[in-house]
Amino acid sequence: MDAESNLERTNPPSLSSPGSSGLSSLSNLGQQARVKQLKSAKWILIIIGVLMTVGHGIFFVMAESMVKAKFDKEVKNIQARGMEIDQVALAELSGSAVRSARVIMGGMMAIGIGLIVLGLFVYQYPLFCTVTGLVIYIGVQALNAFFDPTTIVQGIIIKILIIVGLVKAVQAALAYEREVGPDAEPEGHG
Amino acid sequence: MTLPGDLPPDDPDTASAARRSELDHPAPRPAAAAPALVACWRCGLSFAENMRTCPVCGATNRQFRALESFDSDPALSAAAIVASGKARSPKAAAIHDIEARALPACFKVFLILLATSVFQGAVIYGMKESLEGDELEHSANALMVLVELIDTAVVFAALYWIGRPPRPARVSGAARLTGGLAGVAAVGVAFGLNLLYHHLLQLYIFPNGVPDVLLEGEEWSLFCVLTTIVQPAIVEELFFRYLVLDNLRAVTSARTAIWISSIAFGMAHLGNPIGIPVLVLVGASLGYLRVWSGALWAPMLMHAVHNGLILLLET
Repeated sequence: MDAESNLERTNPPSLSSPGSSGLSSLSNLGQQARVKQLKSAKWILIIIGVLMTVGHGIFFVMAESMVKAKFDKEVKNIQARGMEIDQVALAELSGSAVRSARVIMGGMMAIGIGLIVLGLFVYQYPLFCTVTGLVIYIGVQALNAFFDPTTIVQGIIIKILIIVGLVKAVQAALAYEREVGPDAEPEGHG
Repeated sequence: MTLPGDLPPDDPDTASAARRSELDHPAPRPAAAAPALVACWRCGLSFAENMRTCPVCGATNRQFRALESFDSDPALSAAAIVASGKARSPKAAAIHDIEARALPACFKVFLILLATSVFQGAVIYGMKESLEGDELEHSANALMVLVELIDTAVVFAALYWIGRPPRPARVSGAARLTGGLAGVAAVGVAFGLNLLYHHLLQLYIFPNGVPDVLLEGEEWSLFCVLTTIVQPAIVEELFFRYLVLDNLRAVTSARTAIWISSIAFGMAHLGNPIGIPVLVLVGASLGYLRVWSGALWAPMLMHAVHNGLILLLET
């Protein structure tokens, strides 16, 4: 059964007393608005996840040729200055660079897949998926900025829109969990 | 018949009959005025003026005023306020306060921590272009001290501003002990996984050593002990395991709160991007230790031990 339709069909416990249909319908309207925001969050997470997975997947496949092209360019520069290159050390360095690039791209692909999974489960675990999605998205942007600060301003409007969408989804998830209650779990050990 | 305002009858029999009648049917007491609301100086929650402490954060009520009718039972005054429609129930008010103030503030602090790391990375990137050798190392160390001081100040300011998170339900002594031991074991397993992960990385991917982006010192000195063991153990635990985890626990399940806080903990380590997956696991184990033992000093201690062992192995 589709999780979304399942959620929409679920009647959350009303905050109002029995018989006060006005408050009850207000509560249902509120829940509908929250479900709408969760739906936006779902698609934001899935789209970002797909873009990250596909984009970094392409770089993962092309890592060897890209690293080789970069190394060839550097080698030509060095040779133009009349310096000699140790081919064994070069091959070792090149192999290490390819592996490093693949680890980074693989990690980014894993994060992309993680975001897709979070998007798919946003109705089952609204607060966890929205907050984790927001934290991971901001963390990835900070990671990019950590290595190259110029990436902060690249596509900044889109980034702000995505963050605003995810923040609104977190607020909706909080309100949703407040109304239906968090998944019950005993506190303490065990 | 005695009318109101009449003098008491002179006849002793009539007077005693009237007293008996009063005892049998006491006149209704005048309704006590509900206590006024005061705002907590620390967490901002509104509560009754005659409550000696804030029901949410436990701060002393600086505007305390004794009210005869309500002093015997603080819950009575809270109930009176709820009944009068002036305020939400203390629990609902606390949750509203967490959602409206504490969690957004935690999110802002998380952003500031990320921003200081980005600043550190950018400056080190620039320093690598112009400095080398000891000069580069000394500059990187000075920068690390600066960033850690900023982080410490931000977290302590947040602690003051946000106030104490709601106290979770008390765990019995035996449960705390077994929970604490289980938590310590979990941290031990996470430490083992951390070692295994880095060993595999070094074996198959980085034969020349995992790159050290932040140029962190790797020698057993007072500087390293302070920046690698003491500061992270105190400041990170205060933020991730106290402010974030305990506030989240009030609005969702403990398990969800632990994993959210540990993912944020992992993502905050921008200087060690390769280690983020295992840092999430280490954060989760420290979170479980916090929840199971009910003590904050336990994850602080284990965090310090974890970092100390890593530093010991690196040196």
